[in-house]
Amino acid sequence: MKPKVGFFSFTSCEGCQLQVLNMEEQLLDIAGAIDLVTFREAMDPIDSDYDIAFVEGSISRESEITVLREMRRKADVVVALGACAASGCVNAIKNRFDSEENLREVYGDAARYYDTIDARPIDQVVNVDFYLRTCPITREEFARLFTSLLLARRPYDPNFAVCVECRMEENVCVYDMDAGEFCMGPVTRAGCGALCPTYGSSCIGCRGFMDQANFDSMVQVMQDHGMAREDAVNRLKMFNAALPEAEEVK
Amino acid sequence: MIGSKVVSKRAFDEMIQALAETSDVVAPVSRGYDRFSYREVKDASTLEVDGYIPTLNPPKKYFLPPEEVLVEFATEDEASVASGARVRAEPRIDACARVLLGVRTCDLKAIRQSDEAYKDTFEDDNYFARRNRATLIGLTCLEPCDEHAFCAAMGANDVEEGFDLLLTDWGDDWIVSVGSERGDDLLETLQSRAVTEDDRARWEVLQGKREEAFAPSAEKIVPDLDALPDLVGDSEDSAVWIENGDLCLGCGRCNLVCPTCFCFDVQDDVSLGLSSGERKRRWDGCTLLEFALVAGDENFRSDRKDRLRHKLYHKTRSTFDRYGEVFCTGCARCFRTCLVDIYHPEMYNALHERLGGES
Amino acid sequence: MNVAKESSALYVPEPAQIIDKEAMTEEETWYHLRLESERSLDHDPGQFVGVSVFGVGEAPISVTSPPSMKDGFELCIRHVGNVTDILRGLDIGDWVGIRGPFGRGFDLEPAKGKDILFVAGGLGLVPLRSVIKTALENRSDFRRVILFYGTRSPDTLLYEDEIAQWDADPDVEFHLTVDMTDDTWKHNVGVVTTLFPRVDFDPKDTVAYICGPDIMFRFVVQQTTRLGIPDENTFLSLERRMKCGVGKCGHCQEGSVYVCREGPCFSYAEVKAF
Ligand SMILES: Cc1cc2nc3c(=O)[nH]c(=O)nc-3n(C[C@H](O)[C@H](O)[C@H](O)COP(=O)(O)OP(=O)(O)OC[C@H]3O[C@@H](n4cnc5c(N)ncnc54)[C@H](O)[C@@H]3O)c2cc1C
Ligand code: SF4
Ligand code: SF4
Ligand code: SF4
Ligand code: SF4
Ligand code: FES
Repeated sequence: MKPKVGFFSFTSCEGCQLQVLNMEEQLLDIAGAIDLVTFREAMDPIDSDYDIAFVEGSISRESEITVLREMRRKADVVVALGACAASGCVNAIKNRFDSEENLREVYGDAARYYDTIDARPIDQVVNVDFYLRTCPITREEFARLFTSLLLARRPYDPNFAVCVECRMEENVCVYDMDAGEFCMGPVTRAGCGALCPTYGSSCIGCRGFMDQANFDSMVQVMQDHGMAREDAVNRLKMFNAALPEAEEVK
Repeated sequence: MIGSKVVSKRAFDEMIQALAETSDVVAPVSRGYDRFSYREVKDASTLEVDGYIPTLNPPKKYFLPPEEVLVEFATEDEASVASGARVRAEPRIDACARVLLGVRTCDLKAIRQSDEAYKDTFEDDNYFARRNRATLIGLTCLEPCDEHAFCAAMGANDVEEGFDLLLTDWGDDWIVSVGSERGDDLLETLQSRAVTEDDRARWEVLQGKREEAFAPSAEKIVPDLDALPDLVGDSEDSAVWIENGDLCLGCGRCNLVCPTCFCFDVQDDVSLGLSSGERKRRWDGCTLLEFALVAGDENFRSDRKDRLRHKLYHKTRSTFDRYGEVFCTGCARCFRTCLVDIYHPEMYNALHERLGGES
Repeated sequence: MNVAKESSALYVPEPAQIIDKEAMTEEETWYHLRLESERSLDHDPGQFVGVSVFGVGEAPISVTSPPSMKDGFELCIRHVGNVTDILRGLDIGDWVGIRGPFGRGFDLEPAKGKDILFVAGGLGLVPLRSVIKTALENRSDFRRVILFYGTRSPDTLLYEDEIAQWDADPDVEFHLTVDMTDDTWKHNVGVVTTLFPRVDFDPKDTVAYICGPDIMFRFVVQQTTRLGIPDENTFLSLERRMKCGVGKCGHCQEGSVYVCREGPCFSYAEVKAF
């Protein structure tokens, strides 16, 4: 029996769904392997049960919490699709500021119509089975996760630093260039193939932190290369402010 | 020991140019920022690059690539490979003839050592398909490549074996040592002359100068090379591991860039149709968190300090017990790549000192 | 690139078919497999094979049948993760991939003419069963055969039929214990080490074979050491992460040894030297 699959969007740029839709050639294969795909705004009512729900976006409104819980009840497997859903992504930057103030700044007088709350990854609301972590997701990781689900195996989800993949690519480390780049590769979960460092810029940590990341040393390294301590801390929290580990970044 | 032949640099360069027409010739090439990588070259000019430090990745990448398919598999009837259908599995080995030019003595030593590990009990055919097709043309360092290299302390700044040809700069010429039949055959194609008494006298002078130049490198490690296995072996609870483990990022860079690290992970990938796929191996390292994780989520080395110690333990105690040698060449790649400056010689010296050794 | 055509069997699994299969407990299934090539496995008791589910991975699994079994071989698998969960769903007639046998098994030689003590904890009975059966097939080579088996609860007992046979066999001193149970249980209750006081040992002439979780070893070895069974006559089997089985991937290193190659079976004297 083909699994029934749905895609749902919360607070995000919808770039991750776009990545999936862009997989033209592969999409035919995928479409052959699954029963039904709905791409929908998550605020619409959930009309049926799903075997796999791909959830994009972070949770940043009270009303989204209710919808997400409902969706969890109706889906066998929930996959966080992209950094917003997996770790909160840049949406969570606002958590570091007073939210009333944020609202007034952004929406002016209309602020009172928004039920906004601290942005959070979906696993702070419901159980999440699997993660696609990159911002935006890569087609390769989507294909790998998708085939894993069809085979009923736990997908490959590296729990080591981006530096590992960066060494495999044999890049010159941005810290050796002294070009004012401050790479977060040593504390960020690999799986992107060290995409950013391979193109000469530094890792900004979109895939979230690996387990047992050494934040003290990371901040020290950034300082040693000329970044103010406070800026280093802010940078480490740019994509990951909503993660519990962010508390350890000081 | 002085080589047996002298060839002109010009003739040698022409030979390399000719070789490059028929097979891959690779040599350390500048990547900017004072960093180097083995890349394809067309001639021997890279042999005279100034200020060369060991390449980012060592030559092991040609024998044990960062990622490699070991097995290709498919079902016969489009069924899923994990459905219990019969799966056809075939080995895959990609190999080509390759000349490695300008391999420093530290890396020659490392290649000899990883050969040993990869033929121990079970010969790894994928590794040797490439290794056996490789021609190693080494290059003697006249001085340490930088102030961090501790090759002389590890006895890796001179090698007697493990190359096809070994070159030493001789002005307009190279002095060439022949290390194998393949090397001999290569040299046959070149105009060369035997070394003379004059050469020998000059060689003695050169060796004296080299010894002087390498003295600081030799002094980097206080205890004797042969004392390292016991030193690390008996150090389980040393504060050295705690201090360095606190600093360590657990990033694995030092493993990946090390010429004598050869551990790998294995993962399967399948096609979207699920009826075929590949089993791949890719570089792995013992400083990474999940290296020793087993079922039931038991991790035999869950702390960074334990993993750091394991790395040094493997390079000293384990390899010494198994192969009678410390598997480290002192190339200092691990130090240059380490963002928190963890330096093996410092750890050895600290262990030694805390045992009450002289420093 | 002129790609060489070369063949290597080192990492390539052979097809093997599931001839028979039976759920032993909620978590463990017993399998009877036969290699398509009909090559007999020719393993030593205590050795293991790599079992592949293609596209998912490979898991090291001990051979639980004795070498005397020529028509295929048996495995007993606990379903805990990727490969082993999918194996649960496979049926008779289905195929898997097999590499091996690998590693060094248990040597029964030192026990000849002496007493044998087998201590199995939980899934540790799986590799040990191969040795136990081999010893019982050559019963006259040994003096007493003492067998301790400890498991969590009565419903996690493996090989119940064989246990009944061992229990009834006058030539086997069989002792069974569970950690927890209800009133109907007629055997011992408590961890496996609580069985030691029940038996009189002749420690100088006893050879022990121990298999179970790492934590169990520590306690059992305390007992055998206290009794005075020499370290050289105490054998154990270790479990480590394994990715290749042939001493290359490095994951199974313990001290200076590769558990996949010099082990998984070691004497306690060897383990102490790690
Ligand atoms: C020499 C030897 C002999 C053995 N003999 C037997 C035997 O006879 N019978 C038997 O049943 N077993 C045996 N084992 C154990 C068996 O090999 C493992 O249980 C098996 O490898 C598990 O593989 P898997 O793919 O099913 O599980 P995996 O998917 O590899 O998972 C294994 C465990 O690790 C956890 N895990 C690992 N990585 C992650 C991750 N990234 N995220 C979450 N969880 C993770 C899983 O939760 C699970 O508990 C033996 C092991 C060895 C070394
Ligand atoms: S560039 Fe970044 S990811 Fe690459 S090695 Fe340097 S710190 Fe690590
Ligand atoms: S490179 Fe340095 S920080 Fe990274 S794992 Fe090695 S010792 Fe630790
Ligand atoms: S065990 Fe560690 S130190 Fe040894 S080869 Fe493997 S990665 Fe390198
Ligand atoms: S441990 Fe460091 S110095 Fe030794 S061979 Fe490896 S990279 Fe070079
Ligand atoms: S399992 Fe690979 S070295 Fe032992």
